[in-house]
Amino acid sequence: MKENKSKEIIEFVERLPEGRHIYLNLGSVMVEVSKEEAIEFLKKQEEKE
Amino acid sequence: MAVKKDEKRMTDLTRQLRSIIAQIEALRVEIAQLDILISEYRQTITTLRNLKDLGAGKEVLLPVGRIAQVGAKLEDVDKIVINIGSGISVELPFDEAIQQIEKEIVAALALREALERAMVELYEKVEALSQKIREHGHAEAGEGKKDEGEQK
Repeated sequence: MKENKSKEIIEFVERLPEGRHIYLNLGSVMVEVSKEEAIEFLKKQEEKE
Repeated sequence: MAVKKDEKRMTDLTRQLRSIIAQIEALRVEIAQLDILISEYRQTITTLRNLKDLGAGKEVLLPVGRIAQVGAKLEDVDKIVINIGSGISVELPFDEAIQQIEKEIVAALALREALERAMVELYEKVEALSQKIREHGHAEAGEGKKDEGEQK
Protein backbone atom coordinates (compact mmCIF):
# COMPACT_ATOMS: atom_id res chain seq x y z
CA MET A 1 0.00 0.00 0.00
CA LYS A 2 2.76 2.39 1.11
CA GLU A 3 4.91 1.29 -1.85
CA ASN A 4 2.05 2.05 -4.26
CA LYS A 5 1.60 5.48 -2.73
CA SER A 6 5.31 6.16 -3.12
CA LYS A 7 5.21 5.11 -6.81
CA GLU A 8 2.15 7.31 -7.33
CA ILE A 9 4.02 10.29 -5.88
CA ILE A 10 7.05 9.66 -8.12
CA GLU A 11 4.76 9.48 -11.17
CA PHE A 12 3.00 12.64 -10.05
CA VAL A 13 6.30 14.54 -9.74
CA GLU A 14 7.51 13.17 -13.11
CA ARG A 15 4.36 14.43 -14.80
CA LEU A 16 4.73 17.98 -13.45
CA PRO A 17 5.38 20.53 -16.18
CA GLU A 18 8.78 22.26 -16.19
CA GLY A 19 9.11 25.32 -14.04
CA ARG A 20 6.95 24.11 -11.15
CA HIS A 21 8.53 24.68 -7.75
CA ILE A 22 9.13 21.49 -5.76
CA TYR A 23 10.12 21.42 -2.11
CA LEU A 24 11.48 18.86 0.30
CA ASN A 25 9.91 19.04 3.75
CA LEU A 26 12.79 18.78 6.17
CA GLY A 27 11.24 19.22 9.59
CA SER A 28 9.85 22.74 9.65
CA VAL A 29 12.10 23.84 6.77
CA MET A 30 11.12 23.48 3.13
CA VAL A 31 13.98 23.32 0.67
CA GLU A 32 13.44 23.98 -3.00
CA VAL A 33 14.78 21.19 -5.20
CA SER A 34 14.76 20.32 -8.88
CA LYS A 35 12.43 17.67 -10.25
CA GLU A 36 15.38 15.27 -10.62
CA GLU A 37 16.46 15.84 -7.03
CA ALA A 38 12.93 15.24 -5.78
CA ILE A 39 12.64 11.98 -7.76
CA GLU A 40 16.04 10.82 -6.52
CA PHE A 41 14.98 11.61 -2.95
CA LEU A 42 11.73 9.67 -3.39
CA LYS A 43 13.50 6.67 -4.92
CA LYS A 44 15.96 6.59 -2.03
CA GLN A 45 13.05 6.74 0.42
CA GLU A 46 11.40 3.86 -1.42
CA GLU A 47 14.60 1.76 -1.23
CA LYS A 48 14.82 2.38 2.51
CA GLU A 49 11.25 1.12 2.98
CA MET B 1 -13.74 -33.20 33.22
CA ALA B 2 -16.79 -31.88 31.37
CA VAL B 3 -16.90 -28.86 33.70
CA LYS B 4 -13.28 -28.00 32.86
CA LYS B 5 -14.04 -28.33 29.13
CA ASP B 6 -17.04 -26.03 29.57
CA GLU B 7 -14.96 -23.48 31.44
CA LYS B 8 -12.30 -23.55 28.73
CA ARG B 9 -14.93 -23.05 26.04
CA MET B 10 -16.42 -20.13 27.96
CA THR B 11 -12.95 -18.57 28.45
CA ASP B 12 -12.24 -18.94 24.72
CA LEU B 13 -15.50 -17.30 23.77
CA THR B 14 -15.01 -14.35 26.12
CA ARG B 15 -11.42 -13.92 24.92
CA GLN B 16 -12.63 -13.81 21.31
CA LEU B 17 -15.32 -11.33 22.29
CA ARG B 18 -12.82 -9.05 24.04
CA SER B 19 -10.48 -9.20 21.05
CA ILE B 20 -13.27 -8.18 18.64
CA ILE B 21 -14.36 -5.34 20.92
CA ALA B 22 -10.75 -4.10 20.98
CA GLN B 23 -10.70 -4.20 17.16
CA ILE B 24 -13.95 -2.20 17.05
CA GLU B 25 -12.45 0.39 19.38
CA ALA B 26 -9.31 0.66 17.18
CA LEU B 27 -11.50 1.14 14.09
CA ARG B 28 -13.55 3.77 15.92
CA VAL B 29 -10.36 5.73 16.73
CA GLU B 30 -9.18 5.46 13.12
CA ILE B 31 -12.55 6.67 11.79
CA ALA B 32 -12.47 9.62 14.23
CA GLN B 33 -8.98 10.54 12.99
CA LEU B 34 -10.17 10.34 9.39
CA ASP B 35 -13.11 12.62 10.24
CA ILE B 36 -10.68 15.20 11.63
CA LEU B 37 -8.52 14.90 8.50
CA ILE B 38 -11.50 15.29 6.14
CA SER B 39 -12.72 18.30 8.08
CA GLU B 40 -9.22 19.87 7.96
CA TYR B 41 -9.06 19.31 4.17
CA ARG B 42 -12.47 20.98 3.74
CA GLN B 43 -11.35 23.85 5.95
CA THR B 44 -8.20 24.23 3.83
CA ILE B 45 -10.27 24.48 0.63
CA THR B 46 -12.51 27.13 2.22
CA THR B 47 -9.50 29.13 3.49
CA LEU B 48 -7.75 29.00 0.11
CA ARG B 49 -10.91 30.15 -1.69
CA ASN B 50 -11.37 33.00 0.81
CA LEU B 51 -7.74 34.09 0.43
CA LYS B 52 -8.09 34.06 -3.33
CA ASP B 53 -11.27 36.14 -3.12
CA LEU B 54 -9.54 38.68 -0.86
CA GLY B 55 -6.90 39.11 -3.53
CA ALA B 56 -3.38 40.48 -3.59
CA GLY B 57 -2.24 43.25 -1.28
CA LYS B 58 -4.32 42.29 1.78
CA GLU B 59 -2.62 42.43 5.16
CA VAL B 60 -2.48 39.03 6.82
CA LEU B 61 -0.96 37.74 10.06
CA LEU B 62 1.42 34.83 9.80
CA PRO B 63 1.59 32.61 12.86
CA VAL B 64 5.10 32.19 14.26
CA GLY B 65 5.00 29.42 16.81
CA ARG B 66 1.97 29.17 19.07
CA ILE B 67 1.68 32.67 20.47
CA ALA B 68 3.28 35.10 18.01
CA GLN B 69 2.11 36.48 14.68
CA VAL B 70 3.79 38.81 12.19
CA GLY B 71 2.18 40.92 9.52
CA ALA B 72 2.61 40.11 5.84
CA LYS B 73 1.12 41.14 2.53
CA LEU B 74 -0.84 38.65 0.52
CA GLU B 75 0.26 38.07 -3.05
CA ASP B 76 -1.89 36.58 -5.79
CA VAL B 77 -3.21 33.22 -4.63
CA ASP B 78 -2.72 31.68 -8.04
CA LYS B 79 -0.21 29.09 -6.98
CA ILE B 80 -0.47 26.87 -3.94
CA VAL B 81 2.21 24.64 -2.47
CA ILE B 82 0.64 21.29 -1.58
CA ASN B 83 2.17 18.50 0.48
CA ILE B 84 1.74 15.36 -1.65
CA GLY B 85 3.31 13.00 0.89
CA SER B 86 6.71 11.29 1.32
CA GLY B 87 8.25 14.61 2.36
CA ILE B 88 7.53 16.35 -0.96
CA SER B 89 5.55 19.52 -1.57
CA VAL B 90 4.80 20.87 -5.03
CA GLU B 91 3.56 24.13 -6.38
CA LEU B 92 0.27 23.75 -8.20
CA PRO B 93 -2.03 26.22 -9.93
CA PHE B 94 -4.98 27.15 -7.69
CA ASP B 95 -7.60 24.93 -9.38
CA GLU B 96 -5.26 21.96 -9.60
CA ALA B 97 -4.41 22.34 -5.91
CA ILE B 98 -8.09 22.35 -4.98
CA GLN B 99 -8.63 19.24 -7.15
CA GLN B 100 -5.71 17.55 -5.41
CA ILE B 101 -7.20 18.24 -1.97
CA GLU B 102 -10.61 17.07 -3.17
CA LYS B 103 -8.98 13.85 -4.40
CA GLU B 104 -7.52 13.34 -0.93
CA ILE B 105 -10.99 13.87 0.57
CA VAL B 106 -12.48 11.25 -1.78
CA ALA B 107 -9.72 8.77 -0.85
CA ALA B 108 -10.21 9.43 2.86
CA LEU B 109 -13.99 8.98 2.51
CA ALA B 110 -13.49 5.67 0.66
CA LEU B 111 -11.20 4.45 3.43
CA ARG B 112 -13.70 5.61 6.04
CA GLU B 113 -16.45 3.63 4.29
CA ALA B 114 -14.28 0.50 4.19
CA LEU B 115 -13.54 0.87 7.91
CA GLU B 116 -17.23 1.31 8.67
CA ARG B 117 -18.05 -1.84 6.73
CA ALA B 118 -15.39 -3.72 8.68
CA MET B 119 -16.91 -2.39 11.89
CA VAL B 120 -20.40 -3.60 10.92
CA GLU B 121 -18.96 -7.06 10.25
CA LEU B 122 -17.27 -7.03 13.64
CA TYR B 123 -20.53 -6.01 15.34
CA GLU B 124 -22.21 -8.98 13.69
CA LYS B 125 -19.47 -11.21 15.10
CA VAL B 126 -20.00 -9.68 18.54
CA GLU B 127 -23.70 -10.46 18.29
CA ALA B 128 -23.04 -14.07 17.24
CA LEU B 129 -20.47 -14.58 19.98
CA SER B 130 -22.69 -13.02 22.64
CA GLN B 131 -25.44 -15.40 21.58
CA LYS B 132 -23.06 -18.36 21.88
CA ILE B 133 -21.95 -17.18 25.33
CA ARG B 134 -25.58 -16.83 26.46
CA GLU B 135 -26.42 -20.31 25.18
CA HIS B 136 -23.34 -21.73 26.83
CA GLY B 137 -24.25 -19.98 30.10
CA HIS B 138 -27.79 -21.43 29.97
CA ALA B 139 -26.44 -24.89 29.23
CA GLU B 140 -24.04 -24.64 32.17
CA ALA B 141 -26.79 -23.44 34.48
CA GLY B 142 -28.96 -26.37 33.35
CA GLU B 143 -26.13 -28.84 34.08
CA GLY B 144 -25.66 -27.26 37.52
CA LYS B 145 -29.32 -27.70 38.43
CA LYS B 146 -29.23 -31.29 37.21
CA ASP B 147 -26.20 -32.03 39.41
CA GLU B 148 -27.88 -30.43 42.43
CA GLY B 149 -30.98 -32.58 41.86
CA GLU B 150 -28.94 -35.77 41.67
CA GLN B 151 -27.11 -34.92 44.91
CA LYS B 152 -30.44 -34.48 46.77
